[in-house]
Amino acid sequence: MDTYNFLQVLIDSLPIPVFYKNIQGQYIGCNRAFGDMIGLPREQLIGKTVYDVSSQEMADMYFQKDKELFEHPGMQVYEWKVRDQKGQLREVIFHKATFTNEAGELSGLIGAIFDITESKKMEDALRRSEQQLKMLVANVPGIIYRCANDPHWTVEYISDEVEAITGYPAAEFVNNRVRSYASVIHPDDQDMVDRIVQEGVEKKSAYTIEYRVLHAQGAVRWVYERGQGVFDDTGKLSCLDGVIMDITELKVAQGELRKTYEMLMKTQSQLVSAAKMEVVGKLASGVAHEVKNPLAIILMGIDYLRHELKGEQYKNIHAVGDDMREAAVRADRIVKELLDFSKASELTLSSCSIYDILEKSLFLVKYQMDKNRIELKKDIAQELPQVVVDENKIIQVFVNLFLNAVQAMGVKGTLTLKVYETKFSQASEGIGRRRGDHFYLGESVIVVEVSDSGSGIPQDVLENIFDPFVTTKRFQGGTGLGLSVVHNIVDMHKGVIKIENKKNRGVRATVMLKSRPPKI
Amino acid sequence: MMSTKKILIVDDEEKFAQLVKFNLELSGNYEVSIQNKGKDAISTAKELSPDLIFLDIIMPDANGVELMRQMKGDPFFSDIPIVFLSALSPALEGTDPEYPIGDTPYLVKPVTKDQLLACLECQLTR
Repeated sequence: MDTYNFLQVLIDSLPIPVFYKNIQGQYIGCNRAFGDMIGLPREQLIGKTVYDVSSQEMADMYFQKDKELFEHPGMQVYEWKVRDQKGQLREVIFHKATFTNEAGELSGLIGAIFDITESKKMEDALRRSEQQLKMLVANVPGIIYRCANDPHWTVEYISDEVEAITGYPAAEFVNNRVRSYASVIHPDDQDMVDRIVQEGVEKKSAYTIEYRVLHAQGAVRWVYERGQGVFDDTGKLSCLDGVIMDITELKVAQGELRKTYEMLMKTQSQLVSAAKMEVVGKLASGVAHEVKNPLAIILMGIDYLRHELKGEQYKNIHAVGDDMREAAVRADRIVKELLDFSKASELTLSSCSIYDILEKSLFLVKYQMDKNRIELKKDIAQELPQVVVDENKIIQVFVNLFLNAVQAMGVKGTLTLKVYETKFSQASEGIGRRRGDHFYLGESVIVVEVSDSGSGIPQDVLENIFDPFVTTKRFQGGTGLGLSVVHNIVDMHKGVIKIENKKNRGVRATVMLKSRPPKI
Repeated sequence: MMSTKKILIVDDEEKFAQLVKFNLELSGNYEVSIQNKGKDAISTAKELSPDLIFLDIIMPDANGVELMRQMKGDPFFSDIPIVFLSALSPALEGTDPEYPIGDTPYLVKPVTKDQLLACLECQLTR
């Protein structure tokens, strides 16, 4: 095969239309692709000019371009539109170059046509989708970001909204150019943010965080962030993507709502307590009246019989009469205590042994402890002084604390009871709510610590533990009133109570009572 | 010793009133009458002219405190001591602003014979 033929085969095999013309503008050759494009076989094309294969208007423009190239020989590249055989407009790029004869004289041009219609379409589509994305990002009421999982949260991309929230332009954050995103997170929230992000990354799941950012002008703004790790094919984390929204207004509204709610709850609890006490009071006085009248008859009857039955032969009857009288007096006392209970705001103080109080309290919860197989560990100091308290009410306090501990542990566990005397000192600070009101420095106090080995109390619950209706046992029928009453009773005794999570495990309730009578 | 004194017990609890009567009369110093109907207490008292009246407070047909007020407003009763003898303590009874107990003496049921006698002695020798 000679060179000419070889070259013809070579260019025929190219999918790109190629043609060449002499200096007069007559086609002197082309490949198959070009022939297909204009719909003329090579043999028929040779010798024709562009005026023979195109409209006058198009041909003028082609001719003009060719003329320019011949005037400035070398390369010529330009974008153009041509109609293909089916009459469809195609976007193309012409690559043209002049060639010379053996004498070095300009003798023609060779051209190749690249069809870029498809890639143009894709380019347009890409540009449109980029624009759409930009519009979307601009309209999202929050920050869109992509950042590295490093201590600075080094920003690769962050949307302009960041300026509205932090007061700093987006560009300042990119690659930590002026500042890092970490630097605008509230110092108290940084660890929490990091912890939650790392948890999300580890689980390969989305994370959501609420935290504070510091605005350039010094204001603190609350944001809500939702993001997710982006992982490459090998499962390696490449970056973090997410959105950050300003929820400051929401937080303020939430705070107002919570305050209102708390106020409502307090009012409700006071109403409920008042209503309950009223019911108990009515019930108690009704019961008292109905029980005391028969008791009065019994006592009067005993007195009468004692008088009527005098003499040695009635000795036993007198003994029985004494027993009966004692029983009636005891029944009377129980009724009296019921009445006392209904008047909860009053204390009936007497000097009591803390040992007795704790024994009686433990006795009352013995059944629950045995049933749940709770082990009791006692660490109780010897020879503690008497406490001046309302015994029944203080028993109520300890029974409540013991039952809470038992319920917190479920089945099996250890209830530790530690009792000791100490001098009130600054080191005891943090105990109770109004400790300053109740104890002076160096005052002798009796401390009772009730600890369980349960799972502890969530911090948010712990903060409001003494408020009415705060309970972790709502579904077990807890009303959230138990500790509220306990707190009131201890407070009435000018004592203090504190409930905290232990360092290792479980909860410790600490009750401090005066070892001298409280002045009420 | 003084002569026999006349005592009126106003109480809807018949058996209690009866036993009080037995116990007081055993001492020989008292003659006790009983009125179980609160609303008839004033007429009975005017018939009897007792030296002292024991007055229950909670009765089905009358309120003892109201009766006391009526008596205290009547010159007939000006020299007759009135003592409440009720199952409820003054602390509970005294809370009703409609019926102030004032300084009227008060015994809380159940009482013993000795308490009754001590009370009578104190009230009648004033």
